[in-house]
Amino acid sequence: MHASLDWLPHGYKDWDALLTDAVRKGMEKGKAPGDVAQWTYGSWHVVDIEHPLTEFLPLILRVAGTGAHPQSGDTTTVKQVGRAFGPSQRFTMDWSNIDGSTENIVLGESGNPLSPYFRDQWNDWYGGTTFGLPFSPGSGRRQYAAHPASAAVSLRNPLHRTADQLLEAKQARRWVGPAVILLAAAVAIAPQLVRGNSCGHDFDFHMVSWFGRAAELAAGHPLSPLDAQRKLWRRRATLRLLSSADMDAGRGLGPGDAVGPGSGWH
Amino acid sequence: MTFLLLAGTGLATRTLARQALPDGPATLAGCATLFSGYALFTAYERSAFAELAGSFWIPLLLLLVLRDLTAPSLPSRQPDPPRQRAFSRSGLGSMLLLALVIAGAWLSNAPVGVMASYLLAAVTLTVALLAKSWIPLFARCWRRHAGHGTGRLLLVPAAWEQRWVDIRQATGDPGEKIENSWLFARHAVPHLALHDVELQRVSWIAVVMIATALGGLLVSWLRHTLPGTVPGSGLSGRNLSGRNLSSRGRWWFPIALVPVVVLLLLLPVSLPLWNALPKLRFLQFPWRWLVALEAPAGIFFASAVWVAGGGRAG
Repeated sequence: MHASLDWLPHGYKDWDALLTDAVRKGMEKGKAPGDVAQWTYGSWHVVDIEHPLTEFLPLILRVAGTGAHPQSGDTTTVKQVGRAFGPSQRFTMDWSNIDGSTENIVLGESGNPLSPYFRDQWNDWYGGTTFGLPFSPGSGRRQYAAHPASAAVSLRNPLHRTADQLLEAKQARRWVGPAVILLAAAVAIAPQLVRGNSCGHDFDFHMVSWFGRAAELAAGHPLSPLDAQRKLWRRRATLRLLSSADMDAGRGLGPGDAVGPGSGWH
Repeated sequence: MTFLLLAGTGLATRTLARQALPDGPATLAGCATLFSGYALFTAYERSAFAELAGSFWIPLLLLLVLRDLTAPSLPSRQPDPPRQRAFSRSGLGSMLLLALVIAGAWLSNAPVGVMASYLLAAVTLTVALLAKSWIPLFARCWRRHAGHGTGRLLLVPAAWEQRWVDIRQATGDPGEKIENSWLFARHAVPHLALHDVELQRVSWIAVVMIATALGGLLVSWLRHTLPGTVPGSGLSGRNLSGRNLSSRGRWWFPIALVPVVVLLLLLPVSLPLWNALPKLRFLQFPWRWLVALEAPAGIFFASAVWVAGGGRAG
């Protein structure tokens, strides 16, 4: 600086002192480390992609973000990126060889944070690499055949995972059928929800039968202490069969329940 | 309770239908079973929860038996996991599952238990005839009957202690006689007037269900959408050997026999059968066989009306 010293702010003896102080204040404001030799650009210029709902559900949705990572470039460079700013897609089309086109998105194709395809493109986006995007029918298979060694690389190409994603969607759909049936069952009983439980003509004598069985068992006769357990088990088995028999004795002109006061087992 | 029982019936039917239909029509079959008529009649008109509880064992029974019809005879290219392989090789899985189903049917409802036993025998025989082979049938039969016996063990005490009850009362009442409950039967006896009213209702339900099942069978036959013949079903992904491959397209045949046999049992011409077959009269009403018709009616209805096309579904 060779400007006149008259222009210096008060308290500075020369221009070098002013510039040194400006750098110091800037580093303090930017919380720069004391050892400038260890200071990196990426330590403060980061990319940190968050789920839009992270602010409201930080504990749950933290897993959906990337966390802060050092980042090169700037908003005014070719690699135009910022903390939460950057290309959502990197697509190149080679018109002389359309099967040599490339494509890459930021995180992945799935919107489900628990899906393996939610974040599977992130490392490549962050590292500046990309994937082949063949357009011709069968070109993907030809690439496998021509370059078997590249199969491992190609297999991890998210753009080749259409079949896997279809399978994933199919597995998700397998719960739709049972859910529909549960809904249908709910519709079937909807009248009972509105008008109360149905008491059809079998309901009464079943209830009488069940309460009768319970009363007999509660009475505990004619069990002796020695074989009480064995007889109780046998009788329960008998009662279990008959109470579930649903043989509609007692209807019409019948003499009464098949099991009950008239059956003679008291 | 009603919700759980109806949902169980629908899910069991869907599982059965999934063997031979894509996911969409299989779900429709499960829903159609719920609204087939007899399930709602049992729930609302009768409140016979025991019989309603037994209704979902029938589709599971058909599932286990028909699974044998389509079971691959050759090992798959992708072997089963070791635990599953050991489980299936010993037949333990089939035996336990069938034991649970038979025992569940008997303990839920004795008439359903009787029907399940006869249905098991009839469908097994049909499967053997379709497969034109008795040897694999015997191999599977011992598992099946071992399971059957396991389930029946739970009933031995009850069978032994029949003296505790006068079981004749269950079949002696005129209202519970098979002869008085044929399809649309009417009686001049005043004390059967209420019986006839209910019989008329359930007869109409029976006609609708049988017509639905047989009509669905005819339509799906004409549309070439019979269960087991459309792609996208559970059968299409299996490694079937020659014999099973030929029987794969006839998965629907044992199911189609159910409405025919049920119709026969609802008519007076079947009286010799009711008299000859042991314990069959304990059903009291021939229309109780409608519980076995729910799943076939739902499956054929779904295969007939499914518009989306079996090849794309599933």
